[in-house]
Amino acid sequence: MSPEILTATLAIVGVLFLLLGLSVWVAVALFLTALFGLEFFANPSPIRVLSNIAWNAADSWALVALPLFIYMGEILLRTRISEKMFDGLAPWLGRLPGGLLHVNVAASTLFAAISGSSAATAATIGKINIPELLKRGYDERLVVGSLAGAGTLGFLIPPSLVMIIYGVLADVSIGRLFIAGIVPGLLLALGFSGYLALVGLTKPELAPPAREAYTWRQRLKGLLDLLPVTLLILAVLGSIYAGLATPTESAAIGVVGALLLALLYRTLTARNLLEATLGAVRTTSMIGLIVAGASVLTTAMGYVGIPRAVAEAIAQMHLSPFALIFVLALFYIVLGFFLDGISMIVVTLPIVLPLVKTAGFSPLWFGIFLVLMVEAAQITPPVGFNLFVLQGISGKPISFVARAALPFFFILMGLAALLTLFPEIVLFLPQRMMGH
Amino acid sequence: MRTLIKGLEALATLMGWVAGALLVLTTVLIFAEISLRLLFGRSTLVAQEYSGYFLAAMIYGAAGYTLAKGEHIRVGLFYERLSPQGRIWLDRLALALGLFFSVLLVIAFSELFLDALHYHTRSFTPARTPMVYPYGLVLAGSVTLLLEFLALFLKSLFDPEHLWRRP
Repeated sequence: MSPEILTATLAIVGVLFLLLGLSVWVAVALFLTALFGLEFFANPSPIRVLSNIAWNAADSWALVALPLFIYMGEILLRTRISEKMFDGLAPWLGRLPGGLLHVNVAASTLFAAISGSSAATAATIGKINIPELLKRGYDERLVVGSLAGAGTLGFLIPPSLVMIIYGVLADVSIGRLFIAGIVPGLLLALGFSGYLALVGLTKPELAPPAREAYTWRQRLKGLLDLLPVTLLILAVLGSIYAGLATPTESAAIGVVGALLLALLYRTLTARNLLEATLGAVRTTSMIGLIVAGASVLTTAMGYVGIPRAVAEAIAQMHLSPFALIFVLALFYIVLGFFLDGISMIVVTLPIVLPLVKTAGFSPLWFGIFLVLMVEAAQITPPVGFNLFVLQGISGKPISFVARAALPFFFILMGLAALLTLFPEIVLFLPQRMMGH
Repeated sequence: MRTLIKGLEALATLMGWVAGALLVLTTVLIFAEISLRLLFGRSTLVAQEYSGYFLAAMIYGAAGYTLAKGEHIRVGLFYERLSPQGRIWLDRLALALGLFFSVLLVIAFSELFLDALHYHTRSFTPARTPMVYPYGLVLAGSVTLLLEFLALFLKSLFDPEHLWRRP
């Protein structure tokens, strides 16, 4: 790496972390760092780059999926969906070792298939499941920890806001990412449930099987409770996989479906609708501004020549691809202590993606790997959104929630290692459904 | 001063509502596109183009409103360890930097808008949309963001105890 590029890289990264450390808003920090890089280390006019890229990043058909999936989640959050899922799943899962704790995982898996956010998943499922499980004598640490872990499925099981953002920034098909997330998502859910079953078998006092003896009538009624959610999942994901709709269009179908569900559950009031709309607008603006800032920073770094120089420097180290992924995993785990998942992706992608491509990894596979790293960031303190959500619901200190989530963090890391050793787990389904 | 700050915050809220209306409109537009295609094999021809414009307008239009509600993400690691007085000083610094950024954003979007106005730029789509309209929307959004940063900066100087009270 030439001394000029090295100076520019250190200065740009230094300014970015200084601004973030000074608690400047993440989006503003990204924009200002980009403008600093352009002003001092590149030729094009910073204002001209800002006007073009800030507009182009926001005027994106693929990114339109983002507000619509957020809107769908905001509407569902205000329905009685979590209550219905608990009633529907409990009769089927209560007798397994680990008992009703499996409802946390199964309900999160189902909700993840209609929500793009892990914090929304933890919040929606947690608000009903925590009181219900504590009432039945389940260990509080297991209840909160399994919810923190299972909540992260919101990002891995499609639709996923993180996948939409990664797809837009890395120019990877969002439809392919959505398909690629299914198998790892189900494996992760199985891993969580397996751990809970193991605890149920070895320490039954912490996770007793349900005391209620459910009749087949109750079980069948439970299926009926799950029917609306299942239909919504079929409408949203089925329309993409059947080739009837693009991910963005399926998100609009999801919003209409969520409205129908709210109507069915009699929670569709003017006040709820207004709150959902304004809530969705605020989240969209917050994420959209970060994505736009990241796009300007990516462009600025490209003008300075940083990604190419870093890729060349790493290539000269002759790291094996696995060593590179291992180093990146450690890097993301540390970064996840301090940054939220979306910021983590947008801040690092301009440099990391060219590196990973040079090492021979598929950007599609790396997208899923990155989602797992983001999920880990959601449950690691001091900055972990799922921890904050569950701290709010359970009233327990963040240290308690973080310790409770630790086993689930290790399961996540185990899956990341598995996907690195066997990338086909991620790649075979998109290749089978959509070709190469 | 308090009236000025309240007025600026009301403007940000108004833009948030406009963005909300655009979100509803986007949903309706895309749902109409799918329905037309699946039922009649036809297209609105504008769904993709306009929903992109609406998204840009939502992102920048609601940025000031989101800021007023304290929902733009900040890394609080250092901030949370400071005394209340230290936090106010850091807020002032962050707000001054935010103000500086939003001025640059207004200049950048003004250039886009004025170029489109001067050259009568239209989109390369069947709708041939005059680009002054979508550019005008994001320019209005960036101005609102600037005004909200200004309102918060003034508040940090004159009423720092209530800086993050939601409007």
